[in-house]
Amino acid sequence: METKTPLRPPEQVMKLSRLGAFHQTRISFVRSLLRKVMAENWQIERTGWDLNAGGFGTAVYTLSVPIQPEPEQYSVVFFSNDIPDEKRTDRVIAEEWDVAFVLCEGIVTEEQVEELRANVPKQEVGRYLPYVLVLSRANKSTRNFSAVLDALSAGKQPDPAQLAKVGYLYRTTAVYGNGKFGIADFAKLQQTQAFDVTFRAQMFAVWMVRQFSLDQVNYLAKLKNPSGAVELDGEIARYLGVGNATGLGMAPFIVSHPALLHQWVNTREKALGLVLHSGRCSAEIAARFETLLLRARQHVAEIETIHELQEKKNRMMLAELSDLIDQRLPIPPNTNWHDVLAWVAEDSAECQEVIVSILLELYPDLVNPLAEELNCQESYDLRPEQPLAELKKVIAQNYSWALEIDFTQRPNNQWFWYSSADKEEPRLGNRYEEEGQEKERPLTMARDITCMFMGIQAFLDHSPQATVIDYLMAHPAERGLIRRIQSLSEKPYAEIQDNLIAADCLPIDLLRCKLSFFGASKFDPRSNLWVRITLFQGAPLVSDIGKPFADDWFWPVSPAAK
Amino acid sequence: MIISHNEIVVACLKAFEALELPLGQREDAAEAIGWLALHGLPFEDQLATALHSFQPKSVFANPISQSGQESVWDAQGGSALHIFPNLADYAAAQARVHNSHTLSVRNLTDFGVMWPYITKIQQRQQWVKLIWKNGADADMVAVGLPDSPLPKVSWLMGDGAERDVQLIVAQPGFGLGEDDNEIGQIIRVDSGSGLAQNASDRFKSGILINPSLWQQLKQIGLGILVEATAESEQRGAGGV
Repeated sequence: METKTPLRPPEQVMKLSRLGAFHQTRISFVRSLLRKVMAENWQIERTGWDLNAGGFGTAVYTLSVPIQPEPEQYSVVFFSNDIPDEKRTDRVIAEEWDVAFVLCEGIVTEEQVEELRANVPKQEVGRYLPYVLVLSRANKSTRNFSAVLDALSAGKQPDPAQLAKVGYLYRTTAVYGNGKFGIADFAKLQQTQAFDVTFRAQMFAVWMVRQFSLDQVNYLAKLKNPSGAVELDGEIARYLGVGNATGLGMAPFIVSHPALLHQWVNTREKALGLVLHSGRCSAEIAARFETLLLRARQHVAEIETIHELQEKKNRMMLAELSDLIDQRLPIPPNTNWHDVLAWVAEDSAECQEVIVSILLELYPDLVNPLAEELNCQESYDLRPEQPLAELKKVIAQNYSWALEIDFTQRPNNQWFWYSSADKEEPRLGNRYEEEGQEKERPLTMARDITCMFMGIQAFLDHSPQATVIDYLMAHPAERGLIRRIQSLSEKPYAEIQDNLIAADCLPIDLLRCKLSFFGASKFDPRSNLWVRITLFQGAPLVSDIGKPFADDWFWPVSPAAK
Repeated sequence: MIISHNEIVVACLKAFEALELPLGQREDAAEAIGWLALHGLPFEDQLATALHSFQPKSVFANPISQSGQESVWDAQGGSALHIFPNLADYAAAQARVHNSHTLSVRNLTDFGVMWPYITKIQQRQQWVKLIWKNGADADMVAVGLPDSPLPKVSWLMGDGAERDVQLIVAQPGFGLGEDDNEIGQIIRVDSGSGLAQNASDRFKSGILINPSLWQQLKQIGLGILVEATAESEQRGAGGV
């Protein structure tokens, strides 16, 4: 479906400060996954549960996706391990985890479980065959897990207010797909009906570790007090999602997959365009807007973070949302959504993006189909015959944001991104203080394009009729950059329009952009380089499959606040 | 051992970067190896040769003669992995203007890796033919046309006759020169559909690779990593 409403310009949307303010929307992967799970009535069974009194051992869940003529079948296998506290770290450099797990195609055999047991707990050090689709691991939130276990085994429900601080029992620290360590390439998943959308299989695996965490805590409570323990209340269980700790590794991904980034952001902007074009809102939709706005304010009020800047942004967002609620509600019927966006035009990007997410929430019929359009066949090719002068014009027009940066200034060159010999962990170094910049990762788009632009200008001075291939025969090393520019010339949301090596660059903004498409909430930066978030908080449970589903778990709030 | 397609492409990218092949060229080279492996074609010898003899900074192709419809180049013994893509694009650009272009290259090694790149040209809606006759037993002609996603490859009986590697690119409707059977006696033809089936099979079951070559590739790729320090562990990744 096309929208006639002009989309927001890339120079507004693709700034880091804006990307770093994105929230979950209806097209986020967790949302579309659960709509599919519920609509298709996926059948999930716990078929193996071999855990000892400490909760350590093996668990297997099987999934049957009822598709004609034959259902697709999958297994999720968990290996729960007893690890010393000092080994529990969210970093890539970790070597042990509380639970390691895989999503596999088919119903796993005993031989396969044994093979997995020898490899999965080792994660990156193990080897896998293509029947493994997703590989992941997670660590306990020890405080929350213990608090919930203690309460349940004492016959009580845990304090919801406490759970609002950390809304999960486990947090994942990496979720691997697409061929890593021998597992299946995404091309294989594209042949399935269950997991043919990018990151859907990974999100399913994460949803299942949430189920495992709930089953495990209930199981341990019952073991601890067979006669007096209670099961976790459904509403509280739904409020517990899965945590995730994400570091710099996510940043290079969105820079090196610009066509995919365009596809995601363009789809999101297109959804907004469709909503804005939908005309004036009915009384019913206006009421829904108000409900969601109040819920969003409560959700924001419940976020806790140690990151000073994020805390400041949250406080400002909360004040702006409160002003909006106080001054504009109830919104008159027939309000135009353009007007609503105009009300917050001077507010922070965080507040504006809350409104964008709410607007997308109001029109499921318009927006939901777009969630199936997030795949992208990434193909970058050269147009060797293009006149070089034309390429220069394209650069001047599409990369003016880069050409304006003065790279003779030290602060504009401060950081270099690199991979450490320590488990290839992505890190950031100060160019003027640390060794290693000769091995810099190619996140230097703005600087490189600026430099090449000058080279092209000099070449044209001597050969005004030159083509791209004439230039490349003399400068073969610029092949990658030129191919990127040519391939992205019609993809306005492909490039992050900021200098990623500048002293004031905040890598957490890059992480948040990608995490928002996953469907993250409760952004809690632990520094400028890594962030904790929550996935699936408020989402339906496996036991909710088959029951009426309103797809209304956006902006989860503590059961205590309801 | 069995690896995935993405895994070999990424491992090649890292190794070629460690061997100082620039961005763009290393992507082409890594994709070429991945393409061969995925489509069930010989790739290990090409990869091993590339890892042993890469000299990306020192070897370029030099023009011997150039006109709109023909050009001859000397690759000075360099690897097709990084020299061929620019030459192929040169021929493609010339063909746009002059309807067809025949490009001949002397002293080029690792010919097998050129094959994947011609699929890129055919995807640009141009006709393309690659002829390799080195006097050995691996002579071949690969033909790519826009209406087919993959090239058809004719393997020829080695007749001892050596000639330059030839790439002919033409706009649709313009000729691609001799018929395959005029170039040599055809032993076998790999159709595009056979290659597509190979790719599908390998996505399902993985790609077989010699474990020692895999280790060598991974080992070279470690060259892009920066030595870790206690300070970088804390400061560079945000601490714990």
